[in-house]
Amino acid sequence: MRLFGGQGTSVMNHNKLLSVLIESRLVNIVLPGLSTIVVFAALYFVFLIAPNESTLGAVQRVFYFHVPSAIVSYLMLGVVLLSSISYLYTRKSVWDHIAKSAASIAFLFCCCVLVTGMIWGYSSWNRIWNWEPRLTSFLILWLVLLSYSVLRQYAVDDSRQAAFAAVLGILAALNVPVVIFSIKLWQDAYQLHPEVVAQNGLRDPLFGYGLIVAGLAILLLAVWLFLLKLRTVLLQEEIRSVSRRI
Amino acid sequence: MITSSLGFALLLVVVASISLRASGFGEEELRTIACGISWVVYCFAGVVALNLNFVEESQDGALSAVMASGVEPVYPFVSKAFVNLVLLVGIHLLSNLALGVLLYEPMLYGLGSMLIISVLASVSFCSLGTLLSAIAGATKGREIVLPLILFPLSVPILLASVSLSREVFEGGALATDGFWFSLEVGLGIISLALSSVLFEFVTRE
Amino acid sequence: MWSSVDSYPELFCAYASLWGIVAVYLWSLSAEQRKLAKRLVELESELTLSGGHAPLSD
Repeated sequence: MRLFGGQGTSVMNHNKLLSVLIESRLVNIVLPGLSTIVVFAALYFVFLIAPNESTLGAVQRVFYFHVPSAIVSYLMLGVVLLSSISYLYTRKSVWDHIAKSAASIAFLFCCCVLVTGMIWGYSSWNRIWNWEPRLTSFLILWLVLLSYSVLRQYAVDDSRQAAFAAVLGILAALNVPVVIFSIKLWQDAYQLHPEVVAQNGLRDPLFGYGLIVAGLAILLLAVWLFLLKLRTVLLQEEIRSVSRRI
Repeated sequence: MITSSLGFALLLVVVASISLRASGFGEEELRTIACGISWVVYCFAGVVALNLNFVEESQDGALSAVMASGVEPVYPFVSKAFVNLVLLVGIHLLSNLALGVLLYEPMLYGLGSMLIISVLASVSFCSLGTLLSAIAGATKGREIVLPLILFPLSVPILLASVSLSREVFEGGALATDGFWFSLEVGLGIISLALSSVLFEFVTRE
Repeated sequence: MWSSVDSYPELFCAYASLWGIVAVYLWSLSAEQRKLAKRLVELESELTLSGGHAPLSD
């Protein structure tokens, strides 16, 4: 199988979705090409066009990819919620595979948010970790997603495991707003997160354009990685299915 | 099961007391951290109790038999959660007593308020814990899976409980009109409702 | 409250970490897919040789 493509004819797969993901031009050419172009465009914009923010300094440019990564994590968690509910009601395994893939991408971008957040925090507050509300909420989200992958790893291979993961996915997704709310109130006195957007910090429209371009880049990248991960999960399922027949 | 869980809780209290006394904490510092220690003990002892309780319930296929008898899944769930609640509240009460004796004496005068907070927190903790122990029990390595999946989801419960307990020891009375009390009650209602609904999917073969 | 304007080392460190994480994830995903595809082809030829039935579609 090529890196981003597939030798569809030599792979005897009867899973329609897997066939589509292997042979589709969208997954193999369009999305990777488009993501690469938009990512480079965003980087060009961020480093060469967007002005320096006067009070926050050069490190503020982390914001262009930090914020979209956070939004994508939440979006993917939403996909986990919807597909987990769909699985519990329809019992179709495709929803379980979608939930598993979405959780993996949510975890990836959650790691990106935490790492860039800590580096930005170190630059601004001279401390790597400050129990700042939003970063703390992301730490809890990261732990929740980690626990989801632990459950998947420790699964015994039977039909109930998909239901278990779906239940945990629903609990995790619904718990996140509660976590954000309670941590915000807990640490209200320590609100150090730069309220760049809320306090009209984006006076220059170039900041806004940069955020949109970077946001589009991260979104395209996330969709592509999600489809790649879904392809991997379906491949694993196909292997399991073929092994049972031998 | 009760003796093991209680023994573990008391062991945690002793270890915490020795470590904190040995590190030179004074009375003033202990006032600040005693509530935190109480709830850490609650969380860890709670997980042990939930695990042991589930193992006992599943022995000889007892739980499967109950589910196969055609009863609505919500009834076994509520009864299991209630048993866990009584157990955890009892363990927390006794461990607070031990903390009061060994570490921070004013804890003994706030036992009544702590009991109320314990009951409120246990509604949500035990609802989630009962549901998740049923999940963890069907995986390999259940002892490690349950804390890993339960603790991140219990963070809001922990925050609300510790904040309420701190208010008790600083202000002297349980603040029932405050935000944290409402959050604790709200979490209890939501966790109980959600876990009751989801329990059916976990026990369905 | 905020640091000086000159925080470029931290900026580059942040970007290197972000893209490093994404690159590692992409690389491991591709490697895993290659391995799985190879395994699937092997299994399917084994299935064909043993005269087994094709797996049913999902």
